Amino acid sequence: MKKFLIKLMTFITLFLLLNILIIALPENDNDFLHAITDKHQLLRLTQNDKRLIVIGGSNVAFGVDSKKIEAQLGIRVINVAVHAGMGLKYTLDDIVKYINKGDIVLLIPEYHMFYDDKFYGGTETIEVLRICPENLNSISFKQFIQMFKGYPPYVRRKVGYTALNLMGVKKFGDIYFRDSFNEYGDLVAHLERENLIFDTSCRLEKLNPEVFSYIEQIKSQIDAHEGVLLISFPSFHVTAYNDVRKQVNTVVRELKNNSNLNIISNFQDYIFDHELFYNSIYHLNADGRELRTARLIKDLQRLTGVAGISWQPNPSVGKYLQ
Amino acid sequence: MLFNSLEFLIFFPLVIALYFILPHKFRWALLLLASCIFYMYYKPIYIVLLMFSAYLDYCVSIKMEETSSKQKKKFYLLVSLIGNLGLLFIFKYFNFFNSLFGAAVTAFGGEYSFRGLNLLLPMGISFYTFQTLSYTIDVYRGNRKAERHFGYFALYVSYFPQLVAGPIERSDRLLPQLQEQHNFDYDRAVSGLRRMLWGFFKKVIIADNLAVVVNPVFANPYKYNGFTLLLGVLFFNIQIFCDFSAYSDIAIGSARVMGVELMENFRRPYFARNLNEFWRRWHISLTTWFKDYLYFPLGGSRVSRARRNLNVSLVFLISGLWHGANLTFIVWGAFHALLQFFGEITKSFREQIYTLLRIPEQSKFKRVFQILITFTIVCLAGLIFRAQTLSDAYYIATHLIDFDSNYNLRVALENLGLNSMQVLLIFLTLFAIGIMFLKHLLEELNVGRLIDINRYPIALRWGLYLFLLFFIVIAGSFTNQEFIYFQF
Repeated sequence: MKKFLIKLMTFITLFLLLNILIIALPENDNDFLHAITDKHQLLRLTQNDKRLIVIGGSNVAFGVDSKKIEAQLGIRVINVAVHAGMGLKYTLDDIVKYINKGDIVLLIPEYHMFYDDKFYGGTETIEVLRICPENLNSISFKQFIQMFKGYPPYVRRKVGYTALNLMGVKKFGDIYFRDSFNEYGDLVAHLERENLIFDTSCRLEKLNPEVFSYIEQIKSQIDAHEGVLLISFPSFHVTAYNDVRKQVNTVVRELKNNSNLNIISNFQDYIFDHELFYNSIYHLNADGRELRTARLIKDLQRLTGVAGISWQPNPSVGKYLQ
Repeated sequence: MLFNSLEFLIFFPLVIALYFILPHKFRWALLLLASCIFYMYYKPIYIVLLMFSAYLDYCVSIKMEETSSKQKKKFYLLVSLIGNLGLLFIFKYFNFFNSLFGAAVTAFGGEYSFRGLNLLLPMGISFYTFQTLSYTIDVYRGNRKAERHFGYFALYVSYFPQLVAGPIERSDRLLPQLQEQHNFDYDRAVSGLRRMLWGFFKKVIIADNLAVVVNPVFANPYKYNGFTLLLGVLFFNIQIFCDFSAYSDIAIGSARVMGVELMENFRRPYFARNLNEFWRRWHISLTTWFKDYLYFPLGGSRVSRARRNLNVSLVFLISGLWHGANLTFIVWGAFHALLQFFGEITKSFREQIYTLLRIPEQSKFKRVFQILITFTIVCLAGLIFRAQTLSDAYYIATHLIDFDSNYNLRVALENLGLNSMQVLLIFLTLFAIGIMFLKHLLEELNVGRLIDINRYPIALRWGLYLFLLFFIVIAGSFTNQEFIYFQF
């Protein structure tokens, strides 16, 4: 038994060392998730402005036209959304420290975030922690478990990227790059492209009640910074919605039941037909993005006077960027 | 609990460590507790059904042994059959037969509104029902003594490595091994872990990655053309072999670490030269179960030809139904029965053709040809097995060959909506399939020495282990996909 255990330990150590070597391989600076550093930079540069900070997963990255919102409402808009795979907990923890007095935070989480273990992230959390290691201290045990489960795809991407890099391929894939985002933080690389074929089915199984309490917790932190938290609903494919109608209704009901939260939208306004989606049940194409943004602007405009919010439409779009 | 889960990664070493630390007299209790935890991870309440089955057969077999009256023995056997098969019927078949009954009533102009029971199928119910039934029948036949220790008997029924998808073990093999004291054995532990690694390789890389192609094709076959359908059918047959045999590999490997040898369930079935041979290589524990407890009692082959054909048909139809409550499974069974008759009728004709063409019995060409034909037939039967409805199966079968289709693998994969990474993974999976078939080929050709890893120097051996582990990490699908046979 002793011989077996010694050999087993040696083998495991060897395996772990090889894994460390893989993790230490250079990062792809133009990878999609690296956009998070640009968004942090944007948040730092605009800390003296009154801002509308839009948080969420890729439904927000793909489907919000920040420039248009800025023009209509006269407020600096920053789209900090990148990828839901990081987990809503990570996203909220990461952004909340940038909130200043007067900031309006618009949270638009994907329905998946409320189910199973999606709230805690996975593969993308490992990737983003490589980019922002300072966030490691906010990682919970459940997030570590999910990161462990998401480790194999991380290694796959890392090895794949290194192999392609060695072969001289600098860009692999279609739109998932850091430079696919515009100066507001919106993903725009897909806007001119044809819709792709994708799976429109959806499965949501076990509701995670922790998500609701965590959102409340984050709201208290935003309140403490004298900001305002608003909540809207993600763009969602009609077929997927039909698959998980009950689960979506549960999320909406639970959010609405909480009188502390400002829900600004009707979720049904954001259920769209197939032709408005680009490559997933959450990712809108150019037409979908335009329609969704218009509805979002309407929802925001209705808020005038609520929680001290007032909009001043400003036709000189982009003035905050100068 | 799934073998391919983080939970099992913690559970298994813990159980093994405790198993070898504890004195022998407590080990059965540890394994029984571990087996219950393993099973309850899925739906805790269903442990009641499992233990009910175990307790029923435990009591019935003791009663059977204690009585000398044949009538009473028969009565006790009947109690066991009704109890076990009754549960199986309620949970697995009731809704199916209810819907058939409803359809029949409606067809005759009547009204039938009962929609069935809202029950979730208990995981592995067909496996443990057959396992426990084989024990009771053996006691009834006087082939074995009734087990008096309920703990050991419950462990025999619920032994976690093979609980939910077999191999379906016979009591005369498994029970004595569970009762025997096993000390830690280095070679056995290494061999067991190696077997588990091979199982994970087949499950996580091959079976689960192929699901990305198989699932959409069979979910809506009408969307696809010939080549994509062909890929779906071919990949499904590889997937189901890898998925199921991987479960057996992991079961055999994990039991071996504890010193228990489970029976082999697969012997390279896709190298079979005819369907009879295929059934001697595929899901061996179920095939032999049907042979011993259904085919032989019906008279086997020592009856008239007509009766024998009837027996064969019955075995295949029940085997189809065992797999699931759906017409597709029954038709799959009937198709295999028909193939048996067809094979028998055409046997002499086929031999005449080989003689006419002067192809000797041992010809490599003949062997390869027979293997390919058998594989093709099994694939065609497999499409009925996997299709959701009979009309889906008909559509796929009649659209498999389409010469207008674009026979480009990459294009076909992209038509399925796979992204670049998924396409890359399929190509890696094809490489893994190549490794598996090469291993099988070497074993078939009896040059197994080449792949006897014990003969390799340690550096090469460890290099291979690391390669397999990293290949699993890099190319594996880690979405906790259930084993296909769990649903049976």
